[in-house]
Amino acid sequence: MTEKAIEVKGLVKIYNNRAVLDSLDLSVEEGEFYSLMGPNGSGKTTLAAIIASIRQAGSGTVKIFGVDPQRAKNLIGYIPQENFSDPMLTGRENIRYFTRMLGYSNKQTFSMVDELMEKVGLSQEADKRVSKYSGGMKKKLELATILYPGIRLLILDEPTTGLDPVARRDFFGLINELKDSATTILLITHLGSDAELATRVGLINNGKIIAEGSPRQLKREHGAKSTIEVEISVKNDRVREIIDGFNSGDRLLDTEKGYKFYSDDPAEVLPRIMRAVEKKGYEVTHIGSTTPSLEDVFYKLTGKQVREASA
Amino acid sequence: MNQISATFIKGLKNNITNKIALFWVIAWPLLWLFLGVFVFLRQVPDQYMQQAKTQVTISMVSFAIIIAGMSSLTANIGEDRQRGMFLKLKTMPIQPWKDSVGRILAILVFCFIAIAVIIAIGLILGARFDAAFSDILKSLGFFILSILSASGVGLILGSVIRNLQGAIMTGVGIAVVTSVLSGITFEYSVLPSVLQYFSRLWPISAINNTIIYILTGNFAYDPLTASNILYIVLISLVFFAAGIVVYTRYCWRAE
Repeated sequence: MTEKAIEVKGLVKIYNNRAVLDSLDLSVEEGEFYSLMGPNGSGKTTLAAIIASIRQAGSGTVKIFGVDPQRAKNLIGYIPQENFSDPMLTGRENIRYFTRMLGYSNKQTFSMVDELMEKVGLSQEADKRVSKYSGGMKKKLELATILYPGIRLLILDEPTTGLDPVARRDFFGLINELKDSATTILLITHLGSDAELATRVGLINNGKIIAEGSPRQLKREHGAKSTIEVEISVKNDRVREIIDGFNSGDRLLDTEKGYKFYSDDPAEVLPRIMRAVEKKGYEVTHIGSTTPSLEDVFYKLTGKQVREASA
Repeated sequence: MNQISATFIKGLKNNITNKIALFWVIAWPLLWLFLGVFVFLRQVPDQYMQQAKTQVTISMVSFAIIIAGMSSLTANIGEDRQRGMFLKLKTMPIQPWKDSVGRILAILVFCFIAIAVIIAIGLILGARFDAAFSDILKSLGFFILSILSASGVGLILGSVIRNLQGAIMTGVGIAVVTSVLSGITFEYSVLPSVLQYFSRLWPISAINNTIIYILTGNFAYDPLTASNILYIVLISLVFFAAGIVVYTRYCWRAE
């Protein structure tokens, strides 16, 4: 039987008379890649901060590999949302600083720094100041600060914020490549595309985990539908009414150039919308459907979009 | 030791590669040293000129120390907090006091660099220290106390004031205002009696007065009394200890 990497029971955290975490339970097995997905203010960063011992729990219990988070610090590698590396120092000097802070001797540090810089693919840039690094390079550098021997739990808090899609793919590719099979990952995100990479996802809203399972399981169990997006030459109440006629239940959402809604059967609905709109003399400039995402599951469960809820 | 040396090296590199820190801690006091020697001391009779230049040089060293402790250290802490460095450090098995000691050592060495530069320029401009080796050692000890007390204030400002710009400006403000009011940038004897009293109580000016007395053998009062020395040592250590306590509490505590 594998050990529990994270075990949270009845966790409550109150700020300004508001329960940011509301009797939250969470259990993550050793070696799992678990993603906690939810909008800003849902409590996910607070939960990560308590697990990483940055914040204290109000009530409830938190155990990391069976011990209190304060006693598990040498097992945890944490990357906060902000770029924390020192821009005035070089990449090598930054990693040397963290290696020494972890208590490694000067001799051990020299060989370890080279090894870590190579692992994250920054050997060529090691002696450049971090202020000259791109966003993706900074994230890779910070990834090096959690790859020390003995670290068994990686906590990544919105690690791809501000990164372009290529840099995001690189970052997660690197994590998969470098992580030991026994290393546990807790990924905090509001992006469904990032959460999809995990083996198990917990959707969090108002301080509670509202659904949990593999991405596929969540989509299946919660009946997430395909999204239909229609872009149209003119947006007005008449067009809205026509398109809403094909919407089987959820509210019609406004996009910049048209409308969006959820459908069980996009293949059947798409040509009918085209015909109906064009019959009334309007031009459809783009129409298409996307398969359900974890954002859609969140919407289905809460009636709120992840980004809408964030705002 | 590893954690202390890591913080020390990072802090020192931050200071000596930061043009703003170099300007305020070395160039700014030097500018006032030049102004003092070439503008403000022009009316001083020849027989007092050397003593006056020495006094201005020592005062500018104190000014550099106060700026380094209250502004550079404040900036180092504020920048680390702003970029989320403390969030990262709190999750690591680090003892906060070791980080504090590393930061103070970095400021100590940075101040010694400033002291060396300012005294060298002071000597070139005509300052003279007719003191025994033991007096120079005593002065160094007092300079260290001065750095500790200024760093105590810097640790408090950097920890308590969350806005980086606000913390730096408050540090500069306190440094400049107290330097003027306590006679570091003025002649002690021209201060009104209430400010002379303040000059004896404010640790950095009290230490400045003591060093001037040790290195020139002359000051408006004798600061080398047992009670005065005891007071200086105690007040410096209180400022320093208060800084460490506030720093470890505000920057390192799990909220």
